[in-house]
Amino acid sequence: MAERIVVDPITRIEGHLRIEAKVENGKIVDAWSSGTMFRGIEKILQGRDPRDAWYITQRFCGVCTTVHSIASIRSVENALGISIPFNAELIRNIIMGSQYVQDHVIHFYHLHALDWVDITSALKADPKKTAAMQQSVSDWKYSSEDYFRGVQERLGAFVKTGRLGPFANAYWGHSAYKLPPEANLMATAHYLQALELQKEIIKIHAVLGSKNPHPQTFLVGGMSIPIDQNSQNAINADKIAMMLEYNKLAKEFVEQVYIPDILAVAPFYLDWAGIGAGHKNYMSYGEFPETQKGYPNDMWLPSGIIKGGDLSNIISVDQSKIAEDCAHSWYEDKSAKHPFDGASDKKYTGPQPPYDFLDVDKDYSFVKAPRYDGEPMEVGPLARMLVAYAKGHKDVKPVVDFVLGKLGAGPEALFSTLGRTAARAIETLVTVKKVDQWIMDLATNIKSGDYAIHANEKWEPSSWPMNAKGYGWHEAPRGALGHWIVIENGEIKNYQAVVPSTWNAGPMDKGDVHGPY
Amino acid sequence: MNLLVLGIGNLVMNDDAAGVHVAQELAKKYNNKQDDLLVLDGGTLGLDLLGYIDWADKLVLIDAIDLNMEPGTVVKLEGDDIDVAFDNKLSAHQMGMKDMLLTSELIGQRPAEVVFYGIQSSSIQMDMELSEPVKKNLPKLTDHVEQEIISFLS
Repeated sequence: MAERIVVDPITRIEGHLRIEAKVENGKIVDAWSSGTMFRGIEKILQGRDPRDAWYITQRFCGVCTTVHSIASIRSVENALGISIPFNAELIRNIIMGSQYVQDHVIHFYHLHALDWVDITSALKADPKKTAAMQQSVSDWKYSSEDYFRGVQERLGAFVKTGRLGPFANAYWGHSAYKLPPEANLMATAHYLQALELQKEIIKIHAVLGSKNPHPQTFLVGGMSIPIDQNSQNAINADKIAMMLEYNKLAKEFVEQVYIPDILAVAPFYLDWAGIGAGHKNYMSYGEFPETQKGYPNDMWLPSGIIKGGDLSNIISVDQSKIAEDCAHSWYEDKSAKHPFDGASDKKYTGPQPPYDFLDVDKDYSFVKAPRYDGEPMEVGPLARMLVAYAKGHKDVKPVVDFVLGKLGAGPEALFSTLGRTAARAIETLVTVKKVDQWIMDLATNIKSGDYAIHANEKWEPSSWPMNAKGYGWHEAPRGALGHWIVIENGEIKNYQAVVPSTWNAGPMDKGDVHGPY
Repeated sequence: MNLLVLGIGNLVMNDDAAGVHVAQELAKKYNNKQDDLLVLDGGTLGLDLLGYIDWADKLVLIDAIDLNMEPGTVVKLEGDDIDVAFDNKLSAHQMGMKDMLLTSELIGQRPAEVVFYGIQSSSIQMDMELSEPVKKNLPKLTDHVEQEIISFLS
């Protein structure tokens, strides 16, 4: 007898996501992913000035605001054929790179780790043994017996008063938690340290973007933050030093805490390396232009597509092969459309709330179903790391091989839930090192006398063609993000965003093929 | 000693915006005058506010509440009572203010003094209008918060 389980809302994702799973004999046999909220920001953008779009698109997401600015300005720059100065390119790299580090650290420690770490078990740990465990995995500064006893006491005081705060509503004590108490205490301490760390690393966004979230210094054609060694309000030597300092804190944490934690926790959950593969189709748009040629040339992380887990054949990405269909989505137009021609006219035909279940044979989501050449694609850190690994990337391949070696697993283990978690950690490590380099590159370029930050030849709409179309891609922390813009008479005619969660969490397509979720 | 006056809520959810309105009004009057005072529109941010909370020695929170009182009723809460004000708040996709406060306590950064001013909401729908009772009593809420600022400044 089949039973239906509903999880709504799914956390860890911005917006309102609902999963309905069909269970038979204690096993999930099918599941459906539904986005239950329509916001219509793409419609709000119609008729507006393309140069303002980046500011409005930050509101696509309540968590990852910066990424939509990047995709938006790139779409306009692509439509109008604008190349930006190298300084602006490097500043964007530093902003995007530090976003990876902060987002991945939060994702692992604050959104995900409590699936593996039992906070209540940490109360039973021996602080002395925990200290020994910490000292055996890295040189991290917080490793004394007293330190862990202190954490345990604070935690114990909390649990006693019944105020669990962020730790409420978990399955504490469940047999699926496999870590020994000492590992749980160590991980809990890191959860708290990561809270502290994430707010430091993101200060880089305040330095370059004036504030975070919703940085203010993006501009079509470059950036709006000036470079001036003699001004306190511009990028100067002090600001460069400040950014290096924040990144140093992050690098220490990633090297001495995050990576060792992954290596320490993974062996207890190796069975997770055998589940959660999905379609094994992966797509990366590529990110971080590294030379004067600018985006999308000479990118540090390569673009590419992997189909069916075949790492020997990397297919290049062609934007004309992307289409979204609405066969199971609440929109007027059901047909598969390229984003330039996409529409956002909703037509809700689902049940009136409160309801028990969605009718998944019909329409059941406000998310559309994007396909590449007709096939679903998984996007995210795993996709990026796999594409880079398969291409023999000089920074990525050694780290992936090192982690796989430590776990005694082959590359096929990456096609899994554990693989996704490991890929996110690996990407954080290689990226935090690159952020250092981009900050130094920026300093060197400024020293050479290059103060250019904005290309303004095509700023005035009078310099634009009557009709223009463009797409802006960005590998956001959560995966491949694309904005498509159609400009007519200096105004936005059409705007479509295909975000990472559209790729990953979309509903079934016209052939009833599920998205990656 | 640093004072943070933090209004939280969602501007497009009717009465939920009350705290934000108060913060926006007082910010115009008191911000950029001295380094140890900040009036902040916290919107619906959670974790991102940790840096500000860390900075504060005293925190004055302003938010709409649902404690089954007469709509528009203004209350002041202190100590453990503050947790009660957040019990009816749903935060699906990010850390709520209650979690935020507990978290700041766990990492040893909760401000030494926390005071909460709330106003009983009447309507939390997706719109930008405050309900009549909340609109009517908003000046009263603003006054109470302003008194905190005035006594801090004196």
